[in-house]
Amino acid sequence: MEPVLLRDYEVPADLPAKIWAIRSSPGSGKRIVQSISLDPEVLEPRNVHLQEKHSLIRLREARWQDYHLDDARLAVVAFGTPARVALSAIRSARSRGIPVGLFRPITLFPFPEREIADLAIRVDGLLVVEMNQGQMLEDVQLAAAGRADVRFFGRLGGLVPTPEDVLGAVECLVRRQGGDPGVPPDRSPERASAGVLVARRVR
Amino acid sequence: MDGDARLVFGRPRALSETPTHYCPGCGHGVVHRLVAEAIDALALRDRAVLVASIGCAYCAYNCFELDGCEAPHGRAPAVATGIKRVRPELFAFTYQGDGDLGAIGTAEVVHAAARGENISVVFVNNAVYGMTGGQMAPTTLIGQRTTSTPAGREAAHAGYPLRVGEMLASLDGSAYVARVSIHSPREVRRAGAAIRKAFACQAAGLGFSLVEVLSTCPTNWGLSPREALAWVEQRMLPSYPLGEMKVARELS
Repeated sequence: MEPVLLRDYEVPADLPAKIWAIRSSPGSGKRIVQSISLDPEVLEPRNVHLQEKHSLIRLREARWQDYHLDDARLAVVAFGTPARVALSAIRSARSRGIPVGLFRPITLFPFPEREIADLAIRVDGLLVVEMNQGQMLEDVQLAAAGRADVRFFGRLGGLVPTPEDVLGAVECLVRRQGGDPGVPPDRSPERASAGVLVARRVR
Repeated sequence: MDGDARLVFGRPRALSETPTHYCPGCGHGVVHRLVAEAIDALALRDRAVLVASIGCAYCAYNCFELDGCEAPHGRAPAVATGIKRVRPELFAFTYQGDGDLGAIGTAEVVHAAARGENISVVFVNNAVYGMTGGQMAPTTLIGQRTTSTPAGREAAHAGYPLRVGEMLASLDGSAYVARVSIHSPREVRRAGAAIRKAFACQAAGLGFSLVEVLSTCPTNWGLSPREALAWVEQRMLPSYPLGEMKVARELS
């Protein structure tokens, strides 16, 4: 996963003229840096412009990375620390013959919704893993739009899920879907640790 | 006009020819004019930048022939700080009401003063939230009826009025702090002099300056414009005494 890269700061030579800048050229007439207009005839075109800008950002700026998804039938969707943990869990699962991969959104806005939608068609189930009660979960559900079984595993209070927690959740999902999880029978499929529900059904 | 006629009174150059959006009897129009006169008098028009508040004065940009930069609610001192630090040759001033400066923006103005930012603040105190419909503000007087204190403000429940001028005058970073009023022609002239002094304070690089102007809100007070002026004198002055509370040595 990517470290933070601090690049040299460069000012592009071809920036447009700052016709909005206050007090940049005396005698140029009054300039106000303002976002509000109470005139609906003025405000609507501005809102339309901002909507178009957001659409362009959604189209161009979403970033993500996938791991072991080429032949996967299950995908874990996770970002940040849980994604690192999930990658370890996925490697363990693969060594046990479970065809699972990881989809890691790098940007949460814009959310890589088209890629999740494509993924939902290719796999049977999506397991969302987060360190909260499901903040990205709804985005995944919206993008999957019923095309795959979406489940959730989360830890709260700042507790970091362990690779074993995530592996247990993956195995639980496989078992519910009728596949062979290939795990020892002594592993509890419902609870990864005391009090934490694994693979809670969300729809 | 004969050849001897000369203009002795006119619109300040810093004031736009814009129809007012304020209510009849509102004090903002008077304070706007005093600000424009001070800018003209100190020849600041070509480098003055206005940062207005959110509230009735959100449209102040339309009223002045000055450049301006909008700020989020209460954050005008922070925006003015940025403008002044990046372009110290400019004259950065804020124009804020008591809902903006004395409630949501209290932390901003306190720390701007504590840092001794070389900006000027015109603080219009009418003891009520104006634009949102006359609710109690931190500056509302004890016993004052507002839409959110229909039986009058009770200290036991809602605490006491905030004296912004005294509070900021106590900080080492402030260079000029005064409270003025516009309830009579004499006080209007004094208010104009205080605003000029505050602006001169910034022009001389002496640090943070603030003028608190006691003003009227006939609409939300439920009074006529004339009654509102009397209300300032009779009700507000006992809680908000007038005068200069801090004058840097270089200004006196």
